[in-house]
Amino acid sequence: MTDDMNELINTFLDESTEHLETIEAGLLSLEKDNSSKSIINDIFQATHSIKGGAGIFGLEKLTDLSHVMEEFLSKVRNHQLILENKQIEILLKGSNLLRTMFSDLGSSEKIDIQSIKEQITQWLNPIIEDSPDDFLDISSLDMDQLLIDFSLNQKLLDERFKMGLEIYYIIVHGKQDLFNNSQDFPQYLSGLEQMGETLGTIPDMFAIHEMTKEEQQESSVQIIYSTAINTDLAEMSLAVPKSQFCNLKQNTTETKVTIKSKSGQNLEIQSSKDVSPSPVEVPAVTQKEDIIHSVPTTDNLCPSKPIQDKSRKQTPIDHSNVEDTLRVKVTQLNRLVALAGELVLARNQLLQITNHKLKSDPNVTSLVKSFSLIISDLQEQIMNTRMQPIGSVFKKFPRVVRDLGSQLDKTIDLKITGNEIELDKTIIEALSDPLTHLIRNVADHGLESPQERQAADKSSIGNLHLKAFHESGQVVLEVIDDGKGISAEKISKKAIEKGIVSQDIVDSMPKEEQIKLIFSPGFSTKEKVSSVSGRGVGMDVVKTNIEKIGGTVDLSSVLGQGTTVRMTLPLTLAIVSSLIIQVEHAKFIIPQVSIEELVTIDKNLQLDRIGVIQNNLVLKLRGQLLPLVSLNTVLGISDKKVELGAGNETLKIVVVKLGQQQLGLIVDKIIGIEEIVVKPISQYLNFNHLYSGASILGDGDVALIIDILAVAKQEKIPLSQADQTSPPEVRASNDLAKKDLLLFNNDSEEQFAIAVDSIKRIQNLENHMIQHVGSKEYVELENQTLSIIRLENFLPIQKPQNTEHEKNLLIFNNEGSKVCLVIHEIIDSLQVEFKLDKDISTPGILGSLLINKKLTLLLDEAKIYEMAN
Amino acid sequence: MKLATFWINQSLFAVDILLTREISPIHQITHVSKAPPYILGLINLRGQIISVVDPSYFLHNTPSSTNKNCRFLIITSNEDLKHLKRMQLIDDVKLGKEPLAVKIDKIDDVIDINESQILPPPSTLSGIDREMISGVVEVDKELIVIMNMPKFVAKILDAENKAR
Repeated sequence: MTDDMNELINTFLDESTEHLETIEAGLLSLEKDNSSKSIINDIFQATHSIKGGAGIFGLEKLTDLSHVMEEFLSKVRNHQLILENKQIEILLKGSNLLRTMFSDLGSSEKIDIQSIKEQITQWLNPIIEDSPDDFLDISSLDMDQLLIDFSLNQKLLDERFKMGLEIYYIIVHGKQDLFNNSQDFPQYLSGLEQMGETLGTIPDMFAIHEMTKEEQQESSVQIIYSTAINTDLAEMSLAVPKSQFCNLKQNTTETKVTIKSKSGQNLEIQSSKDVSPSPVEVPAVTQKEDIIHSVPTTDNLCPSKPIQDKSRKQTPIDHSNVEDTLRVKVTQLNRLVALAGELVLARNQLLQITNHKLKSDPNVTSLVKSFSLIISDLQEQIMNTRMQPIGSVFKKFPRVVRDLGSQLDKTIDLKITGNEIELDKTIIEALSDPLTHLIRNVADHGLESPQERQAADKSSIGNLHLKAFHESGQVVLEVIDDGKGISAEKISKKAIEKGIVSQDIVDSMPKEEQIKLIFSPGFSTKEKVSSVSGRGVGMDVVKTNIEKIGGTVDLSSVLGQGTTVRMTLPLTLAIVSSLIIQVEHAKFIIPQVSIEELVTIDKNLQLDRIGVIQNNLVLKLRGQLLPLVSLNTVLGISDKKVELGAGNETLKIVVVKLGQQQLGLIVDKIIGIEEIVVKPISQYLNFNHLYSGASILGDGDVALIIDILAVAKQEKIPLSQADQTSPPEVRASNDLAKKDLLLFNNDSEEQFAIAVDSIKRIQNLENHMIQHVGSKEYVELENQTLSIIRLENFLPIQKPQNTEHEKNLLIFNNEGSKVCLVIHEIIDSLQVEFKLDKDISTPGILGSLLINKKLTLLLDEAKIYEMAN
Repeated sequence: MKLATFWINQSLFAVDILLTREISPIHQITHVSKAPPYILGLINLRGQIISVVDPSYFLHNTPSSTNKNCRFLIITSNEDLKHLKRMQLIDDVKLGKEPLAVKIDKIDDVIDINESQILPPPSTLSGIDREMISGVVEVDKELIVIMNMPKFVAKILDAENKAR
């Protein structure tokens, strides 16, 4: 497919999505008030545009479905059908199907549209095959609306009234009125012309002439006709039953219309005020398959041109917005933003030069100043073009809430405030999913059923408030419900069951913190998986998504009164408040959202706050041990090691947070906080995943943005709290032994344990440290030569997958043994009560036990020295 | 066709001028740790962050030195090429998604040559990856090696994919 074609399809998709939104929003407001002609018009035109586009691309099913919907709507528009709620329901389902099709055009042809099509046509057909009894009885008409429909103006009618002519509004049904008398519409109309003047028809003259006999049979034509024939003679002259025409002269004073159907139902149809009765606003009218444009039929009609539906602007409900927006390509916008940035930098350089060299010339300085102001303004305006009102995300929720309500048998009243709050386009786009998730959660879990609500002394209608507002330079989004609230006990119980936290930790947490466990990965409280929410992914996804765009999520809940989820979002992604730090001579950027605090430690006085565990540094901070890494080492800037004892300097530590885990980064210098413009990392630098982007600092230097998550990954710091805090689950029954064990692996699938008290210490092993003598390996440590033993040489276990991997050495307590054990990775050290299973015991292996559901082999260290020697 | 000629380690090279965006004076380079040796770092070119490569790593296998004559030859991006292709000024060639700065020792001249003047690279060309040479041209009795920029860019991107 060519680029051009792709572009066309993309435009079609973009436009269609907007049309669908118009349709849905329109249908929802019609549900409350089904008489707004302008909304029906909007929906009709949107449907028509979709049909047209789908037709061009040969998407048959799409064309088919939108055609049926369009046809139905056209009948509604021509007052031939009355829109009821159950029909709105079906139309909504139809638009849903259309949406599904648009989401994957390729497979749209496979979607089954039959049942909906049938449901819609079912309403269409009775009209077509109606017996004459069921025709509308015109008792009065809305003149304004009628004139708009026919693109006539009052003046035109008044002129004729002055001349003493009568003006009739006639409905002629093809089958009953004409074909039974072997006539057709053109013949009928030319008959009328002999007795007077046809002012307008719906459908218009051209369309009528183009209709086949069959089409005519099934159609009706509305006519406005001026003639000298008086009402008494009209029935005969017009050749239609009295019920099908009326004299407009008698109606001119009335503004409201009641169309009465034979079934006795009275429906008021009011013209909507936001449609101005100007002739140009003529809604196009359809008959059968073809769209027909209202065209003035006589010369003295107002000179309105036929309006091409396809060329019409997409029609949002709010007509006032139509002309003042413009579609711009995002790439072009991005380029503008980039250029504005360049301009600002050039200005800064110019300012520097003028400050130094041209101070003496006041003309230049004032010129540069105004130049500088204009550029600042320009940049701000360009940045603003990326801003979009949050209403563009909110607008889909009335629909979502309505659907959820009917699915769950709950009545939910959705209130939305702050539609006008603006956010960067990227953020707006990223908000849709988490918000949908939250709203589903509220509807499904949060709000009670009407019975439960009444029992709890609340109104049976659940309230859901979606709120956006500005707060201290950020945008706050709140999802507030007045449901049953979140039970801290239930959440903690579940969290313990799922192994997310331990009982001890939960006990130490305040209630407000306990409910936040709902954000832990793999948490979903709903026992039953429902179609609405609760598919195992839950609030943690919301949290991750919001954090991805630099926001934060908080949750508060009062049991029995409701829950508030509060999201704080940056205004724009492009500008991020960050901490600038320095390591050696290089500056780096750490986004402020991930920074918890800054700690300085005096190397002389507070050194006890730094500890060493297994050769790794830890920071003692308020009773917690944080892993500590040197950014210098992590980023590989120089070989310099952190020297704890030396110097009288202070140690500067940036404490960053990773979910619930914290990590200390040792840096050389903290420079300050700057608002930086984030630029993506270069294509040529993608070998390095430690950086999430780059930026230009105030002094013009380029600095890299550190990706904290990647740093933690590289340093193998466990990310979820589960790994850190939950005590290992030990499956044991009677015959318990209690022992401190060190868990490790040998770069194979097997897990080993060894008694901690047999180990003197653990040492990092680099390959160059190993010295070979014959087939034996030795390592020199602390002026001692130790013989290296590898478990796989003595025990019937798997060979390591890769001997090149970094290793650790276990040095044993037994002074005489002079051996050390090569292991791959230390997994944990823990105190466990266990019962040893002797089934797997061989020389060197005491037996097996289950730790964290994993089979672990307990080593017999004494036997291993023996075998090695 | 017009060629920009420049010096790298005492040898004269040339590149199709349409593939270059500009020649910029040397900027403060931000070093990127753990980068391959041919990536010198990042520069700020009027607000745009651009990677700098040292071509001598590929052409002579030795790192170049920096002096006051050094310049950055900014190679255009695919985005800019689109326009040239539309105007049918160049063939269907591919560069990087973003501009690339190539560090050169000294800028020489802009020469106008006929494509028929271009000779195939001699097989004895030593120390230079022959793939990166599209030909040799003799101007004023001086032999100029024409760099194949698309190949050069592809090579860098390729090397990085392998490094990952």
